[in-house]
Amino acid sequence: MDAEIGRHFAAVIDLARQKLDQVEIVQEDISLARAILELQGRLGSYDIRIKEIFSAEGKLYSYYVLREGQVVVGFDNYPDRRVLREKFGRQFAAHLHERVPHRHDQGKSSVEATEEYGVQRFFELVGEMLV
Amino acid sequence: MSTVLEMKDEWVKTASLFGDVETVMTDALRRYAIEKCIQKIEQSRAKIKAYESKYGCDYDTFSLKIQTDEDFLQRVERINPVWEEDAMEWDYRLKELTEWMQKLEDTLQQ
Repeated sequence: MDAEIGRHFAAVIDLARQKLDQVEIVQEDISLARAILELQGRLGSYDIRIKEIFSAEGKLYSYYVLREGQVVVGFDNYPDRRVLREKFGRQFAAHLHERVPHRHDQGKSSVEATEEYGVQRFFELVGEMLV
Repeated sequence: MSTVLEMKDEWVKTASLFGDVETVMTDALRRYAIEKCIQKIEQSRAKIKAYESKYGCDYDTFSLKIQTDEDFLQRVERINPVWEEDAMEWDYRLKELTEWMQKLEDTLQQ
């Protein structure tokens, strides 16, 4: 992975330290052809969890807000059957491993397709939601 | 590819006790690379094993059942409501493992 990923991870960590308390870098590893960053922190009474993975296949992400272990809101692009079913209808089985950006709401009771998220946008949204 | 390295004279003197310095240094670097590859492979395997134990199956089974089996999805969400974090990394570690094993094989063959 190139130096650009290293700079991106440094920017994510910097942003997290500006926005959150008790920031912990769980892992940061830039390997041969892939890179992973995982961090968590606190925002008031909420737990914020961020994970990004980069590879030749693109970016996988997971940005979640939890309270007492339950999802308040979350964004990720891991294949999700509910969104794939909504997007592809009866043909969804042919797309089971397709990455699909989406949002989960309280307790994961609902899910909806979104545009791809980045950590900056996640913090903006979380800031609006949790204030 | 050849690289010029600056090394402490003392190390070079010690290395020369074991034969041609260039050969000794090349062998040392190769051994270091092998050791690091094995370390990475062991780390990846440990992570993969932890996920297999947590979810009671291998990744192929997990990634299929999470999309096709509603009961399985509900069980997984009870274990970990943010299972996507794990799934992403599980896949990552499997691919990383393949890459490091290939790197090790290439190094061993050189």
